[in-house]
Amino acid sequence: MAKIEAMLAGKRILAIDDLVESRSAMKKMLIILGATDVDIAMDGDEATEFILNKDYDIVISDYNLGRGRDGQQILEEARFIRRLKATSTFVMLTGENAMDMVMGAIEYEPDDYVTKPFTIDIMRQRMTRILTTKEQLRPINEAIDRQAHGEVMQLCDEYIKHKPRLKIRVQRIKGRTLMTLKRNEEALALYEEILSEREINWALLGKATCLYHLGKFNESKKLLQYTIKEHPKYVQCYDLLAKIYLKGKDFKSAQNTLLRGTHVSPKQVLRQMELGRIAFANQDLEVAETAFRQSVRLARHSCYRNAKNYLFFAKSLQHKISTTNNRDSRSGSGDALKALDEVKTLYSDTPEYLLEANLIESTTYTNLGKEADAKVAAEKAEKLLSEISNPKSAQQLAMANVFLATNQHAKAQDLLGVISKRKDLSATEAKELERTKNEISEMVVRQYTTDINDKAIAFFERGQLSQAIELLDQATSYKEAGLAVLLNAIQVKITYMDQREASRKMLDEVNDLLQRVGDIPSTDERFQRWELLKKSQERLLRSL
Amino acid sequence: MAIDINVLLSAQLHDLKNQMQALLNAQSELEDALNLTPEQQSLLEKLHDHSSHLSQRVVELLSVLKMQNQSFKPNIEECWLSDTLSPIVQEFFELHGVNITLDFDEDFNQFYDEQLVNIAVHNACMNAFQAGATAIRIHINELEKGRWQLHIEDNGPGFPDEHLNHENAFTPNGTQNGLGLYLIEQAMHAHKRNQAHGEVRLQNLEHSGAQVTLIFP
Repeated sequence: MAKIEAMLAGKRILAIDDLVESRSAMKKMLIILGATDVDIAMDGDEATEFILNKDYDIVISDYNLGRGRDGQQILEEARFIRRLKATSTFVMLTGENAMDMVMGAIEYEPDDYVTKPFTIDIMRQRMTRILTTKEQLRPINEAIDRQAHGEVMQLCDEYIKHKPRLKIRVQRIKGRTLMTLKRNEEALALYEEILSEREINWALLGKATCLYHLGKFNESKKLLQYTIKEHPKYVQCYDLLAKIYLKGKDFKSAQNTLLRGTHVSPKQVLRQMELGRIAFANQDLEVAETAFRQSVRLARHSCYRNAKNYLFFAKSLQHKISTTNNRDSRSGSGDALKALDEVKTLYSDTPEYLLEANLIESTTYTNLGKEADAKVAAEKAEKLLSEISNPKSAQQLAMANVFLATNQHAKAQDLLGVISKRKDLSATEAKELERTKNEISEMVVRQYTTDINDKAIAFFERGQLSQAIELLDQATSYKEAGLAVLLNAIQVKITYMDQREASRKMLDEVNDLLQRVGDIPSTDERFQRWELLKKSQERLLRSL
Repeated sequence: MAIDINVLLSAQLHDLKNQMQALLNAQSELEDALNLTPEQQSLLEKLHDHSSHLSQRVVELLSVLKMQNQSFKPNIEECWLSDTLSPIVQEFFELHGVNITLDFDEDFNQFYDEQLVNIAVHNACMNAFQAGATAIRIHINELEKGRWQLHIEDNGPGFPDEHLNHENAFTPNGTQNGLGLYLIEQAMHAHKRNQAHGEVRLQNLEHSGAQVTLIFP
């Protein structure tokens, strides 16, 4: 084997450890071993910062980094955003034994593990072995980085034939490549061949994944259940199993499976997000809240940061919030409003997210019994919605619900009218639309039209007839508009035509309104006024 | 509430392990800071060797403790045998003056639990040393379908007959070397493949010396 000094010299190396003594000891050790370019980071945030700004050849990270993200997350993110190439090496330092390690996704596993504590001799020997093997695999990894899958396949076959000591590692790469190429039948055969010799955890998961892609859900499920029993820390299995439950619409089992996965590995953001979404759909808000709280915290400084996380978190907190001002409600509303503020700051240039944040904020205030604040947020949301050129039906429905919650029933009704005309509603949305419609109170709309009517009368009395007509048109557009409002609308239009000239269009409008009024019995106090208006209409008709 | 002795032991051992690591770090800091005479340097190295040996033993104890757990599962991974064994070679040479020869391809790799194989080989070598061996040779046999055997031969007096025939040789209180053999047996039994478990075989060499064979399924 080559000398470690030659393998480390000139390589860009990042060492990550949360303990200051370990960090400096590791750096010193690496320099003694021949490294010349070593950066050190104390946690996931700092490591991400380094990885984003420099191409590293080697990353050595402690698995356990205290409260923040762990080494596995750093690795997954770095590979996910393609900041760590296949040719670069990731070494994970673990506690007393690797069997306590949580195994990550097949594609995001470190090149190797080194168990702590280690002496410089052990480090020299391990690093020599790891880097030598990596060097032997370089042609394959370079092809992977170029995404030249055909070349990867060809090289894999050559290696399997001529380099028996590397066979199993290369078979693993080949299986992964076959799956990338969607050649699932061939990948399945390869995994079965490996498993016939030895039960290796990644081959079990590989086989289960192929079965899943081939639509053999039951077989895949059984294999995953077995794998989880044998390798309870192989957390990727929980994810795939949950997917299978989702396919079968068994949402509760999907949730429970992911929940078990998060107990094994609580720091994986994507799994927490998925668990949160499923639990939210299952209306298991306690679970959803915990999952989203974790996702928000873990993703805050990572590539997985996502507005939806914050928004869902704020939504999942609503079940705690009430007008009682107890501790739950105070902390729930505090957390929700804080999360929404973060969305507004982080995503200030995305009106869709701002709209949703304001809608949830309004709901939070409504639940707290703070009507004025709820209305202010609703108004901001209304403005944002009007600025979105092609709003989605879900956005409109949410807005309509907030209008209702803030006692703006007429606005809700207007918006529901718009939504009803849409052709793209999903079955759930159509149901939601009906439910919302039923919540609109006729009394409240009538009150609203009466309010408009009062304003119109003020215009009429000042002789501002056009403004009066405009307002009364708005009031009479609601089917709930009362008799007094209808008569006023007729009155204003007739007065307008008397002062200027009669028009066919306006007379038709008057006619429609009279139709809506219908017959008024002679005992009614408004009978005489109605009779007078009808006569005026006939007179104007004749003058045309 | 009764104390779970295993939890207590494990917590204490973890603490010991961390203390040992701190001690090792402090020693190497000291080495850097001082300008030592060759004699002093050699003393410090001895200190370091013993500390590092102690540290390894604590790690081993932790693994032994885990093996006793009902839900214990070995961590079978692809490992390089020369990497697994060279710390043992170094330790026996430095602390006991025993020469261990690794007589196999440096690139030989196989699937096994590194920690467990370390326990097994370390105990076998320790037994040999305590029986009076001064040289140990480790070699392997590769069989078909990934099965393999690891042989530890020594130049000591060999196993007494009652040891070879004693059916309780592998129990914790079997014979004089009982605990060592028991741990080797446990470590091998944990290796399982297609229903077959790993085994240990003891025999004496033709002229003199003992051979412990670890059989991997």
